[in-house]
Amino acid sequence: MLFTGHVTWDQFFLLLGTGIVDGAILAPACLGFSLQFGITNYVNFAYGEAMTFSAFMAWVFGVEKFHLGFVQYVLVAGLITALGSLLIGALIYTPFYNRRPQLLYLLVLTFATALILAALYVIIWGEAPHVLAYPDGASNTHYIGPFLVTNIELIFIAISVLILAGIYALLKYTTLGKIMRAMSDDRSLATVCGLPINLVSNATWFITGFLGGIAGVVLGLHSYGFDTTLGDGFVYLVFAAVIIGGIGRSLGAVVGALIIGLVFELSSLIVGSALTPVAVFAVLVLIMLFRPEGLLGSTGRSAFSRA
Amino acid sequence: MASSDAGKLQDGSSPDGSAKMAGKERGLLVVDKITAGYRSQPIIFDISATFKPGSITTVIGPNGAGKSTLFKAVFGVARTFSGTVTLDGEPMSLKPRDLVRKGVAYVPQLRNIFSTMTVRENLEIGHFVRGKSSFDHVIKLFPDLGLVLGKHAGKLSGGQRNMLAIGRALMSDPVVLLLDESTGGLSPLLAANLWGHLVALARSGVCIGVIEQNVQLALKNSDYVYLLTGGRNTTEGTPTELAEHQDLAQVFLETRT
Repeated sequence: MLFTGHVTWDQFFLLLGTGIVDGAILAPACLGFSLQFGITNYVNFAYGEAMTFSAFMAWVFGVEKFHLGFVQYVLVAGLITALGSLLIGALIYTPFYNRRPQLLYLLVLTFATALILAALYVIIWGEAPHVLAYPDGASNTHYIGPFLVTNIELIFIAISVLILAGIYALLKYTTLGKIMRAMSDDRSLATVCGLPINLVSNATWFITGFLGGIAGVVLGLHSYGFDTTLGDGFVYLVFAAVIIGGIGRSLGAVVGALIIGLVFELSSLIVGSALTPVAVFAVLVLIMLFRPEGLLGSTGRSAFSRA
Repeated sequence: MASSDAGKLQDGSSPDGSAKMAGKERGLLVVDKITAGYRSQPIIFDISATFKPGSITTVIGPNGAGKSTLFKAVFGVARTFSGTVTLDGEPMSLKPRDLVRKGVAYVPQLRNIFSTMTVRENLEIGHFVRGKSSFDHVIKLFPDLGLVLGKHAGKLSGGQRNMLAIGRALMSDPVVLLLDESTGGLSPLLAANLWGHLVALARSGVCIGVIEQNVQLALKNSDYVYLLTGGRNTTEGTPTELAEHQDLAQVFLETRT
């Protein structure tokens, strides 16, 4: 028996359920992060800052000023974050890439962007915690099968499923999605095929900004009170999940998110909750040792072969 | 072979049914004194070549002669220091997107398919920018592809990959098709087969430019041949003229040592 004596099945299922919820929260962010890397070749460590920004936008539109309804403020925050992501992508990241496409420079640029944004947030919103507006009955609980979940957690899962289905349909059935996949597969071939590289890069910044934005609001809701560091630590979990799944693979990002979510919660049965982040990265190291290309294999040959 | 003197055809307004040629000739690609390379290092110097519609123009030469760089320069992949490229007399920007829009398609030597996408999706990519060519047209040309439309392109054999790459280029209904060693790595039978397709395409009016390692195949199937050595034009002519050229074998032997 792995578990210590006093763990009940109830506790196990509670953690399993929470792990699935964590995975659902992580998944859209991981998908966005993975798409950004696959298509634009940026390992974007400022992604966490996009999420933080979005949570604050949700606060501004839901609590501070406009008192929008739940669905409205989630969408507004997501869209504003998408616009912000597009602006930074089109004005800073893309021109920089066209001059210096080496992975290391791109990485340093995203770190710099993250630091600048984090500092700006502290100037604007201070360091005090903020709390978002919750829909009525958010914390009411239900049993679904053996799982004890709250309404808001069900909403998180619904949002996640909607987003994943939407992105799947985009990538599989639309012209934009197919060009995004072509660029992710082989950027230089996509270029000589005459595909609109810059346009699709910008569309990618917008779409992934929206994904990060929604993920940020959900994370802000999930953490019941957040400050300007909301996305900082989260981006490392996203990074770990994307690597576990296979960097550049959309399905891999989702699978990685679920694994991270489950490991994060279930490991507390074994190692105690203070050490769960350690457990997550221990799993990452183990998977890297035995499958360096990630569980589903990686595609982003363009950037890593150059690095 | 079509004449490159579009003006003469206009004056003559020939009664023999070639009236459709009376306007601008479609697909005359002229490379004029191109010097190009990578970073600050030129690889080819003052190279000129004319690719005529309805014919196959082949570029041959030993390894390192700059054959691929010539095509890459036309497509803006290599850096061009001087020289011009015109399509039907109109100067081209050497940006892939503009070229593809105008009907110039290019199939690189390596990595010429999207291996994580299906065969069907690869072909679709070909007509996103430009194209009237239907699926059926390309499938009729390469029936093998029709059998594996749902397969991931990365799982195709070498011959199928090259056909897919050419098929994708054809989806844009190109007037000029530039192929960098599309027969490379193929068995002699498959290579001959592919050349058969190219000859048929050329007869349908497409301007085809080919880089070929196999000199015999090139001389057998081309209408006009350019020999490059050391990044410069060395000799050019029809296959018959080149075959008589006593230095041809020597050139290859010399540069190999």
